[in-house]
Amino acid sequence: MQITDFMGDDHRRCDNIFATAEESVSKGDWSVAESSNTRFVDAMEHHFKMEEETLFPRFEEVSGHTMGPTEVMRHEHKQMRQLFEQMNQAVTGQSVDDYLGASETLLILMQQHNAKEEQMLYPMTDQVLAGEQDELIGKLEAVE
Amino acid sequence: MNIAFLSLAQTPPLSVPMRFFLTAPLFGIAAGLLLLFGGDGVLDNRWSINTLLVVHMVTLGVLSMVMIGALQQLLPVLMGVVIPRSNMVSRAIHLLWSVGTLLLLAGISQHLPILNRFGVGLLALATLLFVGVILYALARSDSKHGTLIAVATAVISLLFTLLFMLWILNSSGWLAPVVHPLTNLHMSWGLLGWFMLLLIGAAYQVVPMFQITPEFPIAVRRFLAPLIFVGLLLWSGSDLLQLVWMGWVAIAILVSALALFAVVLLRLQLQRKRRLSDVTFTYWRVAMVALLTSTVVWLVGYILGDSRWMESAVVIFLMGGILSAVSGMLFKIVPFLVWLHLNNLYQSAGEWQGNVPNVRQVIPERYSRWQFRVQMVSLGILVVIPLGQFVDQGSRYLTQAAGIAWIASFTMLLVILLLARSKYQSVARALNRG
Ligand code: HEM
Repeated sequence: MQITDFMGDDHRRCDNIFATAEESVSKGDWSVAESSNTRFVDAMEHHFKMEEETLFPRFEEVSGHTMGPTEVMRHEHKQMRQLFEQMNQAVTGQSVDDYLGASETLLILMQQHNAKEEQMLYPMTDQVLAGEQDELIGKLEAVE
Repeated sequence: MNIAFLSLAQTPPLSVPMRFFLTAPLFGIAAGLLLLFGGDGVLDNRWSINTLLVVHMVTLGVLSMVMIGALQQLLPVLMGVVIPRSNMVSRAIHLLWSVGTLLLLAGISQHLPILNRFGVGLLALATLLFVGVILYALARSDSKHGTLIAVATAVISLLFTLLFMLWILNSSGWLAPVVHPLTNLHMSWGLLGWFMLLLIGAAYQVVPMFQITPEFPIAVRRFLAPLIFVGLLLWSGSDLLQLVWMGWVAIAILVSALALFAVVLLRLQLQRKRRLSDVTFTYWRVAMVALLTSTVVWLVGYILGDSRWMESAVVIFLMGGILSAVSGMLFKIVPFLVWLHLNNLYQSAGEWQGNVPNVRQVIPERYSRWQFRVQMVSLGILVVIPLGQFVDQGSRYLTQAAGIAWIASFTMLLVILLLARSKYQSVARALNRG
């Protein structure tokens, strides 16, 4: 299996939970909203963890670039975490407008981030780490 | 391998796309004024001066203007390529394109070949610079996405649009309207090449992203844009070489490719995971329905040999299809860019969070909804103008009504964009003071 497919599938999974969370908020269904928002943020944090603790370090090690693309990806993770924070607060305060404003901003940021990863960074990773993909995916699967 | 690709500096300054976005509604308002005060027959006769003026206010002043600005912004983000000296390049292209368009419009309206010459000269410089920069950037991209080939064929089509016009004007003493047979090729490359291929390239990325739909089928992404490009080549060949059979092949290709694209996109929208609809989504749905309608209307006109149907098809395609998609994109891109640039400003000042307004605070949904409604009214009036001929003075009143609606919708667009920019400026100033 390619890293591009493995990680791309995980993006899809996060996207789907995102859609559920956003929809339940827009309906004002706060009990569902709270749990789907938590599920979404957890899924994203899990994805970031796979990247920040396993995938990126290995990529940097082999390709020799520590200040390149992965650095930008980490930076965007930080920006997204800020928006998670705003979304959590909006859930606590039960504010539909605040939530949807933050979530739509997040959606755009997240999607252009994912596109860069899926269309460029992951394929590069597959290239650089050819041969050890299965092993690496095994490690990614083991990330809690 | 092109490693520099994702550096933060690749996001061009906000002013790079904004100067184009803010200029576009001005040409839209001008076109509305011309519809309102242009007297009889602004759109009655395809070859009237006023028609030609309105057509190019819209194609050059509004639609190309936004697309040229948006591409300079989106290419770095989506294709991972940096445009060298982006701010200077953007300024130069914007100046050449705006002044060139104005001179051309002045030359056409005043019957002054010299102005036409200068105008086209500046537009040609702008085009060469723009196409050169885009192709250079694309050649260095690592992306294998279908968007790349769609954008490449789109900008090459812009070159063809210009080249055919240079050929026509050069052989006719630089006076327009010429009523030249090759004008059909000029407009086909403009509409189906430059506009349509770019729309397709953008759709591959933004539709799955923002509505959370499945990807476009891989075969579509790979072959659709090249197919349309080949269709246009065949169409040109059939015209230049007078080969009737080739023309039919070209029409079959182009009509089915366009219809296929619209149907696939509408189907993807039905499968969307994100149920929340926003203005961008609604605009794009309108665009696809308009695209399908214009294809059918054009085909009917072609088969009946009735040019009025074909002219209606062009109106529906431009104002219902391309303009809707472009407006939808603006309402997505602009608020996000404002947020992104403010966010980056805060961070380089060493602060996280801060008072950065989110996308819905930059452009409230209810503003864009109102703009959408007014634009739909103007589209509706425009589409029924041909029916005005059955009533005394009907087309005249309808054209004036369309003019008023255009002025209103483009003014609203301008105001919304200005509000977004002033929000950016006030937050940025507060940060500098703070
Ligand atoms: C690049 C600079 C351009 C120049 C100098 C230019 C100039 C002209 C001129 C002089 C005509 C009249 C031809 C005749 O009377 O036979 C014409 C027609 C036309 N052009 Fe352009 N054009 C340009 C770009 C575009 C673009 C980008 C589009 C976009 C689709 C476009 C769409 C059209 C259409 C639809 C017509 C036919 C108008 C009608 O039938 O009334 N043009 N153009």
